[in-house]
Amino acid sequence: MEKKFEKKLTRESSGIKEIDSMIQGGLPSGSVTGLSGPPGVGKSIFSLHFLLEGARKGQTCVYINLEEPRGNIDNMIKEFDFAKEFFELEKKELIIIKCFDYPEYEKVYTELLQRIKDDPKIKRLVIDSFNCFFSSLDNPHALATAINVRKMITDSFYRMRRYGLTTLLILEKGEEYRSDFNYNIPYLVDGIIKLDFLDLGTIERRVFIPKMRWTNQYKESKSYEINEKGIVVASGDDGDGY
Amino acid sequence: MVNIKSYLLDKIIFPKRLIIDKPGIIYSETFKRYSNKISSKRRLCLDFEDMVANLQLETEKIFGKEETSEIFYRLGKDEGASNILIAGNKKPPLFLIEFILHILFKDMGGWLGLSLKEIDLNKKRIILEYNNILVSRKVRDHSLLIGCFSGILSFLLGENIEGIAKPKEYSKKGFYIFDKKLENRYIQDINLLKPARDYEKLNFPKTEETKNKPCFKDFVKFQKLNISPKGRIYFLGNPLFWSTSKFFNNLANYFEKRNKKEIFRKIVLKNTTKISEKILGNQEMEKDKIKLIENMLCVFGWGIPEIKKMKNEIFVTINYPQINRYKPIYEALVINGYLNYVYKKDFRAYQIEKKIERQKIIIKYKI
Repeated sequence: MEKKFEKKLTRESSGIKEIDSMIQGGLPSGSVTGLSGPPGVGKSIFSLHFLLEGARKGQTCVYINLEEPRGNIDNMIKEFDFAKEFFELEKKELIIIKCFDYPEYEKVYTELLQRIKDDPKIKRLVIDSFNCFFSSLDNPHALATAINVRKMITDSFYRMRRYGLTTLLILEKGEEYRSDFNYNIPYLVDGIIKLDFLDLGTIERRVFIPKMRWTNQYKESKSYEINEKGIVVASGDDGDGY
Repeated sequence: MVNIKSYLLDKIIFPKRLIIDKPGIIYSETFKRYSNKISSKRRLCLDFEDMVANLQLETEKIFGKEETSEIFYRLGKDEGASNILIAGNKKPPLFLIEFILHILFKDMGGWLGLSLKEIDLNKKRIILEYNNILVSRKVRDHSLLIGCFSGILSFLLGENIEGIAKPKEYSKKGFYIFDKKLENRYIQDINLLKPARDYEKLNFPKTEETKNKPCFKDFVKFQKLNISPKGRIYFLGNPLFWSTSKFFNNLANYFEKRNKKEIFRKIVLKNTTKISEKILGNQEMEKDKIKLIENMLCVFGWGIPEIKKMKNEIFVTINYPQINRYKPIYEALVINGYLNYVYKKDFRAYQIEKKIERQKIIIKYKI
């Protein structure tokens, strides 16, 4: 009886080796993970690593951006050493980049997810950013809107999981995105990766993984930096010990 | 086996205590267990153990060991008494005192290095055991801490209790003995030590938006502050000490009364330079060093400092500082020391203003 329910959990690499080591090798396949942090901390760059890694493995990876025009995304990618490889994989249609504004996204998201479902080669999905979409709605405080939004979120998550997508949702963290636009997303996702920084004269950045279902995740944080290689996480314990 | 009485007192009856931290402000809050009514709040701040210890060592060079011991004993006793008086003027009932002492030393003992050894409330005798105790381990004098606990115990037990140290030879261990039979050393005037009527209003302001400022838990999260299993706090490897600015400004006041104000300034500047070498050495640029100083003091609960340099003058504003009856000489001198290290110049404060209504301190320095 037990054998019938045994199914080995597979994992998808995040594209950053040290992050993978914090979560037993990678994100659980088919999971929905929130990537949160204040502006400028490297969330979009993290998602590039995630897409690149999937594409290198022959997976089709979809990146949906709801804030920036295509030109800005290209400029971001060009800052890094992996830009050439990234664009080549895009030409091979292993990376698909789609830019929408919010009204467009609201209209197309169901159709988009249906297309993703119909293409079994699509294995990875990034939505950047997921929560600020809701704060742009007319009268987000209205009960009807709130109910619709929650329905939209749970419906989206259901489909993502059901279609076997390993999904990364960029969640902006800042005063302008108050908790009432949060819609309990941190509770609904399967994992949270938090990027944060501290200004101590020089900027120090750290990554925390407070939640990852089905995973014995690393309990401490790790420092990282952003350079021409993208996000580089320090290996080992690098705290200022006593 | 669980002591039922202690369990009931600790979990059911005794007020709850929390440490609250937000940018610039750290305080402990005690409130009734089944109510939201806050019974007392106490503003706290952190400082380097080396600062406290070196202050005492340098003071010994000026006033001699005996007088310094006496100064620090009295200041410590005043500090202990005034801290406990914040919780209220009423002495707790006798049956609770033993329990309170256990809680007190459980809370403080870890980070200080103290444990409760013996309590005899009939004889009014309490013995503490210390091991590698903060500050005293560097100074080899226990006056400050003995004075502090003497102040607390005198209030709790309702009569003047003095204390002495009994160090074990060639050891970091020893005992503190508090006994009503010990000869009176310093009897306090409690009326002078009670908190001001507007203590809470001034020291626990509703702060304006401080989203870009770090607080204690941010530094812990980023492993800049480390807390040992016993509760000792370290900043970049340097041990810290819970205190209040009142203690240091009281010391500054003593130096001033003895016409040795300039010497106190030199002592604080010298110590701050030593500390600056340890904590600011890794920062290359002046603006980064200044940022670190601002954020560090903010996290230590000194308020929210802003440092602006214009040509040969520096303007420092500390928003939401600790407010007490003393002029903030100590804060001005510590920041002076950091600034001198950063800019490699000898700045001096020419204006120190405490704007109580606006809850800020303004300090102006020039070369």
